[in-house]
Amino acid sequence: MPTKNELREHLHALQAGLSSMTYYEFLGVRPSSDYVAIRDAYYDRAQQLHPDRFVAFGAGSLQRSAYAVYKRISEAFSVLSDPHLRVAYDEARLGGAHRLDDVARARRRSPQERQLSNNFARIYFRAAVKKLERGLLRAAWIDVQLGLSLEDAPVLRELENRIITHPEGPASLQAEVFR
Amino acid sequence: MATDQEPVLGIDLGTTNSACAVVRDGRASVVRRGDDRIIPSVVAAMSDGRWLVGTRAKKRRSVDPVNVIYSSKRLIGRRFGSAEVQEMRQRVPYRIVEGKNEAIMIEAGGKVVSAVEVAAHVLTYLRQMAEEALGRRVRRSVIAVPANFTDSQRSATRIAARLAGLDVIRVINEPTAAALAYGYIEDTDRVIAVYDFGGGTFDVTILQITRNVFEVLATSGEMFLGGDDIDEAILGLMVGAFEQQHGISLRDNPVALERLRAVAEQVKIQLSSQSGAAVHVEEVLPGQRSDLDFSLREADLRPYVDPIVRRTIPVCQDALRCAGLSPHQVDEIVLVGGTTRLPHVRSIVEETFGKKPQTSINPMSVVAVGAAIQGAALMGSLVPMADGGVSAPSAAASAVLLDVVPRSLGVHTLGGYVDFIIERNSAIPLEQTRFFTTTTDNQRFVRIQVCQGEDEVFENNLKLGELVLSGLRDAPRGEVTVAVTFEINADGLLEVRAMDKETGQQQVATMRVLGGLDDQEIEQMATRMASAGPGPSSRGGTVVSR
Ligand SMILES: Nc1ncnc2c1ncn2[C@@H]1O[C@H](COP(=O)(O)OP(=O)(O)O)[C@@H](O)[C@H]1O
Ligand SMILES: [Mg+2]
Repeated sequence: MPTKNELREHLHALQAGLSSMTYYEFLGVRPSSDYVAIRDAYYDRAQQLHPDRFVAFGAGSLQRSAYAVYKRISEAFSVLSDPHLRVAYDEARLGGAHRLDDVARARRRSPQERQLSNNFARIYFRAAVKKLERGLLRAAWIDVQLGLSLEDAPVLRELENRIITHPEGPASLQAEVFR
Repeated sequence: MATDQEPVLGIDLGTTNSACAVVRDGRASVVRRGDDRIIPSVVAAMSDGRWLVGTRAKKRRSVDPVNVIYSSKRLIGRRFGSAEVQEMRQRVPYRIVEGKNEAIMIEAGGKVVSAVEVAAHVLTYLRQMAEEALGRRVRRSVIAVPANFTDSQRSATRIAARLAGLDVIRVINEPTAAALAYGYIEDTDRVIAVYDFGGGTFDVTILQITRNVFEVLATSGEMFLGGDDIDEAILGLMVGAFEQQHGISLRDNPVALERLRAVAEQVKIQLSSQSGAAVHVEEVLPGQRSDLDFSLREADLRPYVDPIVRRTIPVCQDALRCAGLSPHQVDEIVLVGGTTRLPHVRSIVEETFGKKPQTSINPMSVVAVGAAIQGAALMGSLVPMADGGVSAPSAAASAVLLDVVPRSLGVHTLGGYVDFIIERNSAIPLEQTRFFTTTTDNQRFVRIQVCQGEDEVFENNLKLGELVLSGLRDAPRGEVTVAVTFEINADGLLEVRAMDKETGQQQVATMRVLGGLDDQEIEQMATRMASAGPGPSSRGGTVVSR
């Protein structure tokens, strides 16, 4: 269990790293870590460093540091937990960036994506749309099913319908899928 | 945990009733005054300028309805023109008028007060009641608000607390508080449905707990559905019985109706634990021989209650659908709100989710208890050790609540559309900046309108406010860049800043909240509240004068 001084040191190390540390370093994971490892690291960080942990000290500089550090922790998690943003970030990192810039981070959602509330259902939806565009019907259909298993939403149903009724080889898709 | 520490008051400021609780020596208890733990959220203006709060104010409803303010939580933090406020104007006997900046004002007792002030009166009452019970000053509080409260509603509630002399260390979602009261903070991950059936509103929230992190997956509700509807049904039966006994209709007699409504509520409450209830009401029409004898069996009330309660089923289904879950994936069901005391409500809940709900904590105080637990966790999150250092207690002793943004936030763009800056379900606290450029040559200022909601069309969302950044340098269009930063703090409160980086000096503008109050108005209210005189303890009751 960390003592107050250990916590304080940890916090200050991260605060000093705000202008240089990568999201991976911030969460204490490796660039090769998978989603589950990243999520667990995020929850651990939250347990230790959430600004709520410092409320008892009053509104002092410690709490302000915690707030600044924590905002970066949630930013790191929001980027690394989204496959598309993570790819964009890894590219930016090759160019020397330690953070994904604001414009790239605020990637807009399409009106359809907006109708999904489950983050993963949205990711499957997005992937399915991409695959459908490239004619990968079966792969798109699988993504839609995965999305539907998380959120039974009309936009996913519509997409499913578009895939099933696609002019190019609906028969083969059906045959493969329902075999 | 330090025991001499000032306690944190956990507050449930309800639409119908309010309650508060504290944690002492590691145990949460509901604050009481005498036998009262549940305080009606009612404020009555007296002709001599005093304000009554609580039970005594509620009693005034049948005497002087136009000067009794109830259900004011439905008004707080909204704009005058909103559909909900217009609906309220139709429903309540007191007068709701428009104030400055689309604020909501209420006329009562020859005075005009804001909805925030009304809430502040109730909160002051709760604070004083707690101070009396604990024998010490209470300053710090954790206050619970509905999960679907917007940014404006949250800030208005905070202002009310400040006016009531309370320092709000955290605003917590009501369903999260209820789940905390049940202690669902161990390592197992669970999905919890919080079924909250109160006096006038129904809300259901699906929460997910992952490694001590609370997330609101979905929340759904009915603005006008609650115990009041059942009272209304019983009132109808009573009016019918009166007509049979005396041949007189009471339909056009608001004073008699209000009086019988209070009796109807008592009958309903009796029928939640007994199979029958009988009442005798003397002189329904004062000065006339008009006593009412009324009896009702639980079995005979059921056909009236059933359709009301069944209206909660599609709302639960909607929330589950939004959360992407089926009923059997819900691990626990927590009951909140007085109406869940009715056995029939419990059986409908069981029918809907396929399992029995949790009932061990009083549904009318569970939110206050949870808020108090969160307050204690916040203050005791670092425990002194023997060597003078401080250590964090075990995770289970104090969960960290990670909230998410309930609705997306965006700005108005060309053509009336929305450019979303923060997406719903993002974890808070967070900060996001977006850059905008000027759209005309030599544009001197930019006006940034902010909304909350999911619609692509700006007007279909809730407009929160706007900010204007002026004094931009002369330049061809597209050359001046303005950075707009949205920051959401741990309470879910939004701060919007616009900054012009081009002019050497950084110029910052902050958002003006619609329906909100400016500093001067808050100041005036504070003065009025401060002159409200000594608290109830020295006045031997429930009176706050001014
Ligand atoms: N024992 C009971 N049986 C049935 N209804 C009850 C009982 N106790 C309180 N109620 C009803 O609960 C409602 C108030 O619930 P509450 O949780 O205080 O509401 P709110 O959250 O809207 O402030 C009222 O309609 C009241 O009549
Ligand atoms: Mg309530």
